[in-house]
Amino acid sequence: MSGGWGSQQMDNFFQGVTLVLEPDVLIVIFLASLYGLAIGALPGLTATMAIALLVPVTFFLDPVSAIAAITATTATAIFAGDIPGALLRIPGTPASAAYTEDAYALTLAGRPEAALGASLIASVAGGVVGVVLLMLFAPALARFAVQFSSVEYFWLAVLGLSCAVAVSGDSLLRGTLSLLIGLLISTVGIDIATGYPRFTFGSIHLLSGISFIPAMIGIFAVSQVIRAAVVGRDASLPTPIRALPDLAGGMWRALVRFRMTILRSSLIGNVLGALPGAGADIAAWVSYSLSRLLSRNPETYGKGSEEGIAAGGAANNSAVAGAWTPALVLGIPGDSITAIAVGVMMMKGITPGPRVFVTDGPEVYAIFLGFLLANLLLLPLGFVAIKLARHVLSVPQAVLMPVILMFSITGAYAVDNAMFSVGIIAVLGLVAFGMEENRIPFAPAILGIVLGAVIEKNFLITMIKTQGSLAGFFDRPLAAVLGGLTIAVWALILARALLRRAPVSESLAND
Amino acid sequence: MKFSPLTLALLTLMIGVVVIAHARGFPLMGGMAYGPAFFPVLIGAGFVICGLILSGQAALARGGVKVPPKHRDLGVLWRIAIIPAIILGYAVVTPVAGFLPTTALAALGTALFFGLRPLFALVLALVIAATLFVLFQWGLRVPLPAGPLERWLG
Repeated sequence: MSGGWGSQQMDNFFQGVTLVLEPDVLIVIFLASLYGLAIGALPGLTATMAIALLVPVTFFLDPVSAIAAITATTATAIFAGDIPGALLRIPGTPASAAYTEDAYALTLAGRPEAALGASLIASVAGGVVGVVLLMLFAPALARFAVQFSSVEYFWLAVLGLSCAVAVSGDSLLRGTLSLLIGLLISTVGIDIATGYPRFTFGSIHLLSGISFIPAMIGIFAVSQVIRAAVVGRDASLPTPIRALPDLAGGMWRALVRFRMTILRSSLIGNVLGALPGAGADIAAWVSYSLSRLLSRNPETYGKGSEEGIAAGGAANNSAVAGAWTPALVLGIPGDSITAIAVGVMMMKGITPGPRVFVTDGPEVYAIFLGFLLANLLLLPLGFVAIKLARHVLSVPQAVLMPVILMFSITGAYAVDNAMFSVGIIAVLGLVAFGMEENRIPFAPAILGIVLGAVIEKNFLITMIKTQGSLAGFFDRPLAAVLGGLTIAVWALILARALLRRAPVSESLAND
Repeated sequence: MKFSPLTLALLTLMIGVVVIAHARGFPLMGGMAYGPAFFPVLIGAGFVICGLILSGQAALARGGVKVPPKHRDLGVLWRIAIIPAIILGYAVVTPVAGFLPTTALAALGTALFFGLRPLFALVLALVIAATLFVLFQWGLRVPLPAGPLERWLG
C-alpha cells in the first residue's frame, strides 16, 4: 500500500514537472512575479489585494497557470513589502511590519543595501524551505486526513475561525464582530440543506450567494481607494535615496552570518503559517521576537538589526507556503490569501481535501513546483526590484488610485458579466472601510465568508448522522481532541479578555 | 465614518435584532430540528451579545475617558461617498454608453479628484480604458458592455 502510494506520488511529481514546464505556465509565473513585486512594493497595497485583483484574470487561465499565478504573486509581494518598509518606514504589506524599524534604521544609517540584501536573501531562503516542507508534509497529512468525517471538518473549521479571532489584534471583541460579519455574508443565498433562499430580498443575483471575488475586490481594493480619497495627500519619499551599491555583497554576507537564524525562522514560519488563523504577519512577529531572545546582540533589535530582518523575512515567506498545507489538504484555509486560493481551485475543478493527491495529483505537484520556481525567481527579480525601487515608490497616488479603481470595477464585472457584481464591490468596499475605521480587522471576516458554509454543511450532516444528538460531536477520539482544542482556545480568549478588563476597571475606579 | 463607541454598539445590536427577526420568518422543515434559520439566528445572537458588551464598554468609557470627537463634517462624508458613487454611477451608465467611454470618464473623474493635472488625467484615463479593453475584451474574451464605439471596434 505504502509503496503504491509512494510510486504514485513520484508519478504525479514527474507529471507535475511537465505541466509546470509548459511555456505558457512559465510566462504566467514570470508575469505574476513582476506583478507581485510591483503591488507589494507600493505602500499600502497588500499581498491580499494583489491576489484579489488578480483573480478575475486567473478565471480565464487553465488550472495550473491560475494557481501558479497566485503563488508567484504572493511569494514576491510579501518580499516586496519590505522595500517601502526599509526606504520609507511604511511596510508595503503587514507581514513586513515586525522588522520595519530595523530596516528603516539601517537606511537612515546610510546602509539600505544591508537591510534589503538581508531581507531578500532571507525571503528567498525562507520561501524555498517553506515550499520543500509543504511538498514533504502535505501528502503525509493527506494520508492521515482521509479518515476525517463531517465532525472533524466541522471542528477544524470552527477551530480555524476561533484562532483567527484569538490572534486578531488588540480587541477580541472586534475580532469576533468581524467573524460574525463574515458568517452573516456566508449565509446569503440558497440554504444548502433545504433550498430556502436566505437574505436574498427577492434578487436572483443573490440566490447563489454574494460572489466571492467581487467581495474580495471590494474588501481589499476598493476600501483602500476610499481610504485614499478620505486621507488625501500621500506620503512621499522623505529624502532622496541614493543608488544602492554592493547589494549582492550585502546579501551574501547576510546569508553566511545568519544562516542558522534563517533556517530556524523558516521552520517556525512554516509551522505558524500552517496553523489556522496565524499566517505570515504573526510568523514574522514570532520569529523576530524569538531570534531577539536567542540573539547575542538583543540590544540592536529595533535599531537596525540585520539579524532581526533576516529572521522576520525568512519566517513570513516560509509561512506563505505553510498556509497552503491546511488549505490544500483539508480545504480549510488559514489566512485570507489561501481562502481566495481555495475559492479559485474550486472554480477550476480542483477540490481541496485529503483526496486531492489522488484526484488531481499532477496538478498539485505542478502547483508546488510553480511555487518553488517563483521563490527562486525572486532572487534575480527582487534584486532588480530593489534597484528600481526608487521609481516605483515615486508613483503618485493620483495615478495609482484611478488604475486600481478601474481595474477593480472591470475585474468584478468580468467574473460573471453582471453589473450586480460592480454594485457589490461598492457596498463591501464601504463596509470594509467602515470596519477599518472602527479598528475591526478583516481576516476573521474573510475566513467567516469561506468557512461559514463548511461549518453549516458539516454541522447539518453530523446532526443527520447522529439523529440530532450533540454528543456525536465528541464521539470520535479525533473529533473530541479537536472539539477540546476549540473550547480551550475560547477559554483562553475569554480569560485574556477578563484579565485585561480588570486593570481597566480598576484604573477607572481610581479616576 | 469612525463611530463613537455608543453608535458602534447600537449599530451592532440593531444588526443582530434585524437578522434574528428576519431569520425567524424562514420556514421550518418538517421533522428537522435545525432548519435554514438555525445558523442565522445564532449569528444574530452573536451580534446582540457583542452589541451588549460594546454598550457596556461605551457606558464605562463615558465615565472616565473622553469621548472622541465625532466626524459629522460634511466634507469627510462627501470624500467617503465619492468612490462608491463613481462605482454605482458606472454600473448604471455602462450598459447604455458602453465600456470605453464610461471607463475613461470614471477614470478621468477619479484622477481629477485625486488632484492630477487635467491634461495628464485625460491621457491616463484614455490609457486605462484602452488597456483594460485590450486585456479583457480581446485578451480574456470577456464580452464587455458594448455601446456604439465598442460595436464599431468589433
